Amino acid sequence: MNLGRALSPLLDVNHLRVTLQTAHGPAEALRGVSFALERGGTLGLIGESGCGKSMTALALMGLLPEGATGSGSIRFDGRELTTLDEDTLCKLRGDRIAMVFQEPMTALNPLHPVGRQIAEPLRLHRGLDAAAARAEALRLMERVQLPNARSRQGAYPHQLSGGQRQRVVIAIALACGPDLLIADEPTTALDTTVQREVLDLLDELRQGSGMALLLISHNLELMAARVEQLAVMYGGVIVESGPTRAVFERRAHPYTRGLFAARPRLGADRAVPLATIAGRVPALHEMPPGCAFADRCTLAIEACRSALPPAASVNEGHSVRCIRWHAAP
Amino acid sequence: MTTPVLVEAIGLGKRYRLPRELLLTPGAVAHALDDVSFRLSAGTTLGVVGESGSGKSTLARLVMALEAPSAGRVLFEGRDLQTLAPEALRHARRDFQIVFQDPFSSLDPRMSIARTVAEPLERLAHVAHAERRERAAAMLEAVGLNAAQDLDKVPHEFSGGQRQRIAIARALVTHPKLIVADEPVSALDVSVQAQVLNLMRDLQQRLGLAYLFISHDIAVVERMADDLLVLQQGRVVERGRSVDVLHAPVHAYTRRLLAALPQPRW
Repeated sequence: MNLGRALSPLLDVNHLRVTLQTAHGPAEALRGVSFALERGGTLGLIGESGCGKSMTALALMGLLPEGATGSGSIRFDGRELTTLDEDTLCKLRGDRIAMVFQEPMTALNPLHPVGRQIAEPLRLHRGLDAAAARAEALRLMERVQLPNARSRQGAYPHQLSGGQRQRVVIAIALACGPDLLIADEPTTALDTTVQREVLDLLDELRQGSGMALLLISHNLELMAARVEQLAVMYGGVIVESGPTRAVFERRAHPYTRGLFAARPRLGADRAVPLATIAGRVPALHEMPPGCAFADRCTLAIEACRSALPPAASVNEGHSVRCIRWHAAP
Repeated sequence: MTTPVLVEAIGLGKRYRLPRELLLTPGAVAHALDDVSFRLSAGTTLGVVGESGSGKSTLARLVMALEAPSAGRVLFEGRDLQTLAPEALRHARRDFQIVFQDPFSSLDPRMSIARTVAEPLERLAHVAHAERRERAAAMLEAVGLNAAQDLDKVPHEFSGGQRQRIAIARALVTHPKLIVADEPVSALDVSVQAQVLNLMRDLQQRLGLAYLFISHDIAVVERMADDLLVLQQGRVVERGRSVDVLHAPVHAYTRRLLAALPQPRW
């Protein structure tokens, strides 16, 4: 490994912009997203539906919807992904970059036994023969703590519970020992107790292998417990980012504060209504030129609406895209 | 002061026959719900928590008389709905309505909002055509939508939170006494979830509604419920005032549900 590669982050995304073709004409879903993820690090992307967090993951995986165009740079392990051809990308996907989706039932093929689905990337990327791939698949099933792994190799997805299916999806993602795992709402479809088991499993596997994790979720509690770095997205922009603890304690962006206030908490006074954020997320085709949150923000001034606020530094490594963050109580 | 009991469930059970595995032997019997009893008073909220497969949604279907129980009875204002003739049951339905989890699949994509919201009036309450649109408009305003603008739109023109408001407006249009809410905010984002929860509390106070509020999210249930049932594998494992159950859980399963919540460190 050369020195330049060792020093650069594993994943370095810069000024990523994505334009989708919608019924209302072209609309920008990502408006200049930049972040970096170190080897073995953990980064969370948080925000509401339509904020661009899943779109970011799809762009990284080369899975953008048809007709979508983009610009900017995505460097993975020192290599620019945006100029690679599809064949080369296919060699990276499922091998060095893997993804876990929200809904394990739709991510798995209902017609193939799960053992075979776990073996598939091993045959494709590692060139293992059928017997070797099967043996390795069994080892992976044991590693993700699927009960009775041996007898489950021939099971079909519908014969497993939601938590077990998600373990299978994780086993597929981990098959080739990726450097980066992208997990898009990996536990949203699961019960709370199962959620914790799956997240514990991901933590354990990550610590054993030095894999980096990009976790996408709208769940604040989950982020607090699972990632070191956090990026809050709104309207296709990262509006606040930094060490998770710093973001949670300082909550520099008015949107971050709104999200925290809206969350029901155990032990809160029931007579006091939950705080809400007035208005709604602007639709893609009506995204304003300035701060997308301005229309819902109590601190907004005219300057907020004229141009996208530049990133301001709150503290070392903690930045916010808000020109009014000092004005916050 | 005692409030009248609106719904009473007595020894409620529901069994389903699993698919046959041998040619000549019937499939096994699964107990989705087993010996569940509770009382829900007018104007109050009974929360039901438990994991998937614990019987929460089966309970909702039985209370709504969408299915007949295998054992026990559901009394609505003292009447066993299962004993009513079909026409009488349909009339009774105006008093209890349901809101489902997913506002994307619970609204007919081809039906205008005016028709969607007014439909229960047509089927259940025999309200004259001219009056229906007015009532639908009033309900949309009550849930914070703009009737003048929204009545003739179709569901895809609305966000998830707005659709759930439409679903609530439809449930309210017959002026029911009970709303069964099956995971009503689980599909919504945090900020939208807060708006819908506030709306439901506000409507309860204004209209004296009772809720059977089903959720797997304990913080949400704590905010909404006066009383609580904890279901595990179809059985009630813990019950009581929700404050008591959540702050001093007795059953191991309730403790496990609470312990599984990610602990905030801030």
